[in-house]
Amino acid sequence: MILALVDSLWRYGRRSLRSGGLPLFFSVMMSALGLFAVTALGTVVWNFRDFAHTVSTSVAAVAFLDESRVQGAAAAEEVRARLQLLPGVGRATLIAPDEALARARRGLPKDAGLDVAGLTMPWIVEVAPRVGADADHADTNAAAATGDDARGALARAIRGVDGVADVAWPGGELARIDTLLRVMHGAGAFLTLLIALVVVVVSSNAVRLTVLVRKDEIAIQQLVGASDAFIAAPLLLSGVVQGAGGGVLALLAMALAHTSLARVLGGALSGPLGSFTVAPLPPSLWLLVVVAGGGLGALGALLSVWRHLRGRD
Amino acid sequence: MIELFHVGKVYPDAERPALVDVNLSIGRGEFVVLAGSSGAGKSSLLRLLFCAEQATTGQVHFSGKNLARLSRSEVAAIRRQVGVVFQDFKLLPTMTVFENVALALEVQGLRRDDVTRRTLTVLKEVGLAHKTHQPAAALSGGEQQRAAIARALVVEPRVLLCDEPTGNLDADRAKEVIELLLTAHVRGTTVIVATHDPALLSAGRRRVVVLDHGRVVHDAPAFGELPALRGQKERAA
Repeated sequence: MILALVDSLWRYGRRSLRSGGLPLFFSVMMSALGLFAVTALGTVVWNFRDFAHTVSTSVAAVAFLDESRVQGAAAAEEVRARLQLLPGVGRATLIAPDEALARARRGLPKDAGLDVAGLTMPWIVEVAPRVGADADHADTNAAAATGDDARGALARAIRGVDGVADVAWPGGELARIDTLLRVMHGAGAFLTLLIALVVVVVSSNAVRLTVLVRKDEIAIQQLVGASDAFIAAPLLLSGVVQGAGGGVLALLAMALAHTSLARVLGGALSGPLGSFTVAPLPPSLWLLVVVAGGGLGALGALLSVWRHLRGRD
Repeated sequence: MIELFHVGKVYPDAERPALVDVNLSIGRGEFVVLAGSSGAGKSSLLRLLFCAEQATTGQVHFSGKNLARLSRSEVAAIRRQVGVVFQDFKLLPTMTVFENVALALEVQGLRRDDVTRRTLTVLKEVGLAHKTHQPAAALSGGEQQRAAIARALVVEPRVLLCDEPTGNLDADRAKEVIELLLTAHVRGTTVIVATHDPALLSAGRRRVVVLDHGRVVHDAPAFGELPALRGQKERAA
């Protein structure tokens, strides 16, 4: 009996798809457009998250050693070793005053007109957090987002080490990245919701037209005792095909865009913090796009069929 | 099998009720002819029986079940036990004769080969075996009505409801259709026919229920022409 119902579903489903015509085609294309926008934004967020993680794990806190108490390389090395032993520290690198001064000069704009003659720098220790240290506190993937507290705690711990005069860490920049990431997540969620709604409405209308085309057939099916499920199933299948078809097209377009643009974007974003590649979404998310497309199409179809069967058309 | 208790039906915006206090009991295997002039309530009565409408007052019972209290799935289940034939056939014109008839079996979830076997058998019985793969629109009126009867009979219904089944047919085609209905009756199907057709009224051993302005005015077995109907025909002439 199940096989017979599947057979009927398949045959009536094909009939529904055939009678869909142009509205069905446009529905697939609209779904594809919407899902492409979601996929593109997803790719941007996905890569920005990686970018933020790279930045957050690359930027070090800078400990300025107390010039009055730390004199000479041996004493500075002793402080560095103590810093290295702090929990959450990945790497502590000692920088001599000459090198620190050279870096400071390099960091100044050429036309700044500042007189740095006679300026001296103390011994400095660059402290990079341990990669994954943030995972001890919160979500690994959102290192930049959740690292703010962890970095604050690390900065305080560094400041408490004997021989450290001051600590500078780019908390403001990281907080900005964190905020930007949160905004992108929020905007992405809103856009995804909006596009999901559009896909549901579009596929609902396309299936509604199919229902109207097949109105007489449905009436006769009801007359001979067809259940609501028997009538609805082929139309739901049509909705699933529309949504999933849109998802597949969106992924194809995304793959094409990625092939064309990834190298250019990667080159533009690579810099002092290292090379950066624009990664495609992982296969599990590809599947999610297709399944979500199919699900939204089915939901749209269900709304139309429900309205028709309850006589609200 | 079918019982109506004080059934009334009022359509919105109608000048008068379609049915008024109808009490009727139809047993298994009966052949019932619903007679009466246009607007007497024959079609309304049939529509209540296949759950296309609900009674405004009173109760309609099918095999002991109150039709007003059925869920949608129970209504579908009742319809799978009832064959319905209309004056305008209600076939799907673009589908073949085979597909139109097989539809009634497919909704029951029968296996494909069972559907094929039973559909071909019933098409042979109604004399449409040679038209199996023709679209329904290509058939003559008589052939379309036979296809509609085949669709109703293929499920081996407990009850066959026919609303003016010969209304669009000439005398010869009407006779063929009447023969098919009588054959179904002989096989044990309860047949209820709403008609003006004198040939149907005088066909075989049947029970005639005459409706007038929504009321049952005559209900008795009959073998000849009914006096009440003769009066109507004379008025019409």
